[in-house]
Amino acid sequence: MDSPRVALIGLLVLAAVVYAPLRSAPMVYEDAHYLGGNGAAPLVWHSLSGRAATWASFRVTPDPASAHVGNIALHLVNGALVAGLGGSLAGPWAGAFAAGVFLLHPLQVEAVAYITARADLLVTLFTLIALWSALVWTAAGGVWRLALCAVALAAAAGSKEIGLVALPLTLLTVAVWRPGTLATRLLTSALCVVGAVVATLSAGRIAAWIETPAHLGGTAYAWPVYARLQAAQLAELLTLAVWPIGLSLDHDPYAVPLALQVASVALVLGLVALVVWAWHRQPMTAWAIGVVLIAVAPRFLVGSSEFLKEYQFVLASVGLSVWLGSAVAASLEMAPAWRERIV
Amino acid sequence: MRIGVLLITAVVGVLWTSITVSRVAVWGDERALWVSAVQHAPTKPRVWVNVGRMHARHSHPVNAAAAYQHAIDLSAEQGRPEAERRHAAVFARINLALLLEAQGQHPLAVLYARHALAAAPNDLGIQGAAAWILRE
Repeated sequence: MDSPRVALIGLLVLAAVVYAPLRSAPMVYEDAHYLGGNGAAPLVWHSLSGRAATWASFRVTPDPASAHVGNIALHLVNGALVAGLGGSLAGPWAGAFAAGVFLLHPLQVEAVAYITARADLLVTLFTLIALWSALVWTAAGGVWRLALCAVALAAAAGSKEIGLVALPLTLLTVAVWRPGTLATRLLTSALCVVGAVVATLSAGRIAAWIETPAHLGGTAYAWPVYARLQAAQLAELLTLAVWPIGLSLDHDPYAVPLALQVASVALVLGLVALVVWAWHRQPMTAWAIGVVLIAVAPRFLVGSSEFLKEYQFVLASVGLSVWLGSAVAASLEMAPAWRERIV
Repeated sequence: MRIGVLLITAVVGVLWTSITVSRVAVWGDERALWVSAVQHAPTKPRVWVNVGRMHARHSHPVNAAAAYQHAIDLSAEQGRPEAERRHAAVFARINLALLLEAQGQHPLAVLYARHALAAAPNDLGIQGAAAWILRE
């Protein structure tokens, strides 16, 4: 067995040991909603509610202990998939380092410990499968890979409403890593058609979400203020990604000084500009930041009573993990330089 | 250079992993979890409502009542949107009403329940809780 795989196995075992104590963690916030009486409701109703995959997974883990174990298992699987994706993009050692970041970074704890975050873990799982299968299909073909991508995209959307971002993330991934190929053009066209159909069919529901009143879960702020506060929250999470001191179940971007809020908006706009600048110069940077921005974009457009939380950042962390993993590997001369596309 | 990068990677890896271990421990202790939340969002009314509920679950009614009252006081401060402040105040009042009712302080429980119901007359959950307190 080669060294990167050995390292990955070691990281998975370490992560399992680190997270094992969560088996006896308490339920918080909405956890009881998923594990209480609603867990016994007919599966058909929850299929119609739009989170069928998440509800189905809770029928397999119906009590707090098994639900926490389920989240831990999902996190480990996602870590392995991050290794696979990172390995595809920048070599096996980049994948191993990326998995290490993803599995053991403190910012991930809430996504694993909070039972309700199951939906976000599943979205991440299916998105990773979709990205990997799309990359491999555009390189090597195979109807089953295309089918797997389609099923994974549907499953991501069926885990949580924000799972719809798996589609633009797939578009981003093939556009950055497989530019100009016939397979990429075909896949892009197909995904754009599917996206347009889904957007058209979901327009009413999305409009309803945007107009949800504050007392039913919508935002109490006017949209410009809400977006500014959400930018401040995103900036805090990005800061925690680098310096993980100040992790909390509840953050309060309202308490951030106005000047920092405005600076956060500038940061977000700067990241968009960075994606454009890096597109041909540093594809890994463009892709990674693109993943972060696309993963959180719906939370800027649709107001909510709560701002971006740590567990909701788990999908975005895929981009950061692969970026950092490839950076470390490249610094150690174990992976190609960032300017190169190896896929 | 490689050795330097390896060293930095190792140090950062150990640091992040140790923070993860401590964070997992916090999540395993409900009290530590909410104490941590209050430290990072001390002026957010909703956090104090949840601190109160945590204390109530652990049979600390005095601490629970204090947390609910603090949430109500924070909700009265101007600054945040009125809808957000009212939402937190409603839940603080109804939870305080339930706590007082459980302690046998019925008249005071009725007062807080009526306040909560007046602020959220269409909320089924608030209606149900208030109806039980106002049953007589």
